[in-house]
Amino acid sequence: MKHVRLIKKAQKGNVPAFEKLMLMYQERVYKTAFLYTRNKEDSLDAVQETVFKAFKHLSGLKEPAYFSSWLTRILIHTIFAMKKKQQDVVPFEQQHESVERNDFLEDKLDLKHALDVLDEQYQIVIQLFYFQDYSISMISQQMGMPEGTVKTHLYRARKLLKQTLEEEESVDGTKTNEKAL
Amino acid sequence: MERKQMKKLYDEIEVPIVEVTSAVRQAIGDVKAEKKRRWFTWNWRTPIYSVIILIVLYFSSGFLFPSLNTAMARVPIIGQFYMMFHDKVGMSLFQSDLVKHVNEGAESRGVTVKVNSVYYDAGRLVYTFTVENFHTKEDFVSFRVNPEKIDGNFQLNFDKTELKKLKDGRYVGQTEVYTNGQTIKQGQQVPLVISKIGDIVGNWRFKLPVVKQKTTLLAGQKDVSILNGRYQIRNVKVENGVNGSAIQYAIDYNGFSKDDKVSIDGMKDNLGNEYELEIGTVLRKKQLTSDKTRKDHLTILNQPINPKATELTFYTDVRNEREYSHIIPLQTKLPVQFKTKHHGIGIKINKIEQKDRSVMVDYQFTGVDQKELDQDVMENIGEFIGLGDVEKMKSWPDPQADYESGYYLKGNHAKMTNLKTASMQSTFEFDDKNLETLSLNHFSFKEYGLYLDLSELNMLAPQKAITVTIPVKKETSKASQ
Repeated sequence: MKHVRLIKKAQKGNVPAFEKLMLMYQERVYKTAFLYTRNKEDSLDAVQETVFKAFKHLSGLKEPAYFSSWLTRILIHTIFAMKKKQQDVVPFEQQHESVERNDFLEDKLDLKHALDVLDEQYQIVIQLFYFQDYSISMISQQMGMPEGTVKTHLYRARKLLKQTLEEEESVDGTKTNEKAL
Repeated sequence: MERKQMKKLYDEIEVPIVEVTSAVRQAIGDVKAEKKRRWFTWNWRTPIYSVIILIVLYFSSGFLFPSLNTAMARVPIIGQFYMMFHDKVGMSLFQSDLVKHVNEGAESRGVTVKVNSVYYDAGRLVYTFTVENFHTKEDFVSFRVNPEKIDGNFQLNFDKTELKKLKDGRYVGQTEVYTNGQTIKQGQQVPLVISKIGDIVGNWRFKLPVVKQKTTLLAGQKDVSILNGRYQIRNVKVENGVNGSAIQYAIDYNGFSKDDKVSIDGMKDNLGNEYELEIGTVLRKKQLTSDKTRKDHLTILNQPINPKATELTFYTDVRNEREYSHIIPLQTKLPVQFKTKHHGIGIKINKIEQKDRSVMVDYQFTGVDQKELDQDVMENIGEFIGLGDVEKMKSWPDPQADYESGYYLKGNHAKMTNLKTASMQSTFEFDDKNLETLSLNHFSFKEYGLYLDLSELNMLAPQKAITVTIPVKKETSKASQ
C-alpha cells in the first residue's frame, strides 16, 4: 500500500516521492539490466536512463498496482535501444575484445547469452514470470494480453532459449575437439 | 528450464548498491533539471531577451534572401530527419538523391500534418512527416495510423509509432509501409489515415505517391512443393535494396493445412553467402477454394543478395499448424481420444473428477516419440486446456479470447505424472487468489466441459528443418525501364 501512495504522489510530480520509490526498486532494476548487458557500466547507464524515462512517462501509468511490470517494460525497451545504438558504433578491434571476454565466461553466462536471442516482447514475459515471480494470470492482466498469448510467449521463449543453449553447447564441443586435436 | 534455476541466477547477481544509488540519484538530478528547464518565469529581463531573439530571427529568417535561404535550409532538414530516426537506409538514399520530396498536407482538430519525403527500398516505402500546431511539452509523442484504411497492396509497420520534437516546436515522424514490391505501379497511391496524435483523436487523410527504384531482381524459375503438396511456394522474386533485400513469394496452403503459416527464416545462395531474416509479413490472403488458401508473403533479409547467384536455398519454418478445437462435456463417456492431422499426435482423456472447488483431469499424449519428450513442453501444452460452460463456449467465437468472466477458466495447473507413458494431470482450481475475475463462479459438473485446441499438441512433434532450393535468373527491374 505504501508504494501505491508513493506512485500516486510521484504521478502528481512529487520528485522526493519518486526518488523514494526508485530507491525501493533499484536493486531489481539493476539485476534485470545486468542480465542483459552483462557489465556494470552498461547496467548503471540503463538504470539511470530508465529512472529518467519512468518519471517522464509516469503520468501515463493508469494503474499504480502495475508499476513494477510497467517499469520492467521501460527498462527492457531502454536496454534494447542501448544495444541498437551500440551496434551502430562498431568499436575498434571488437573481435579481439570479444574473444578476451569469452575466455572469462562461466557456464551460467551461457543462459544470459541465450537471453539475447529473444525478442523484446518475449523478454518482458520471461522477466516477469521467471525473475519477478509473476503468475501467468498476473502477467496477462498487467500486460493486457490474453493468458493464451502469455503462455505462447513463454513456450516460444523457452524453446528458443533451449535451442540457443544447445547450439552453444555444440559450438563449445566443437571448439574443445579442435583444441584436443 | 526450471523456474528455481532461473531465479537463482537472478539472485546471484551482485548489486553495487552505492553505485546504483548514485545512478538513481543522478537520474533524479536530471529529472529536477528537466523540470526546471521547462519552468518558464516572466521577469523584467524577458522583454529585452525577446527583442534580441526577434532581431536575430529576423536577420537569419530568409526574409532578406528568401530563395537562397530556402534552398540552403530545406534539403538538409530532411536528411536530419533520417538521422533523428537512425535511418541509415534513408540517409544513404538521401545522399544519393533517391529520396522523393512530397508536399501533402492535412489538417484536423487544428493540428497540421505535412508529409515531406518518401523513399522506396527493398519492398518498403518510408514516409517522413512533420506535425505542426501541436502544443505539448513532451519530447516524444505517440501517433496511430488506422490500419484498416490501408489497402491489400500495402501493410503497415506497427512498430513506428513515435514522433520526436524538433527545436522549432514541430514534431517529426516516420511511417513505414510494406509493399508487394515490383508489382506495385509508379502511379499508384498509398491511402494513409493518421487517427490519433498524442491524446488528440483526429482524421488526417492522405493519398501518398508510390516511388520505385531501379533494382536488381532475381526471379524463381519454378514452383516448389513441400511435404507432399501440403504447401507450395510460387512466384519467388528477390529484390535488392541498400542494406537488405526483399523476397516476395506466394504460398498455397492445401487441405487441412489451409490455415497454417509457413515463413522463410533465412537463406543461402549457391555462392556460399548466408542471409538472415530481418522481418517477415503476410501482405495478402486469398481463399482460392474451400480447402486452399494463398498468401502473399514478404520477407526482408539483412543484406543485398549477390546478383550472380543462380540458386537460392530457403530455410523455412512452419509457424502455425492449425487443427480443430473440441468441447468435451465433463460427463462424456471415457476414455475419449483426439488426434492432430498434421502429425498424428493424440490426447487420450482417461478420468475426470471433481474435488471440492477443483476438477482434476488425467490424460496421456499418444503418437509421440517418448525419447524426445520434454516435461516442460508437455506441461505447457497441458496448461492450455480450458474449462467452461458448454453452451456458452459454443457461442463464443474463440473461448480462449472471447470468454465471459466467471464462466471459463483459461488455464490449469498441469503436471507430468509419468514420462514413459506420457501421462499428465491437470487441476482446474475454481478460485484464483490474485484475481477474482479469473475465478469460476457458476460451476456445474453437468453443464461444464473441457476446451481443447488440438493445434497445441503439434508442439510435441519433432521439429524438422525444411529447406527448399529454387533456381533463379536475373531479370531487368521494371522500374529501371
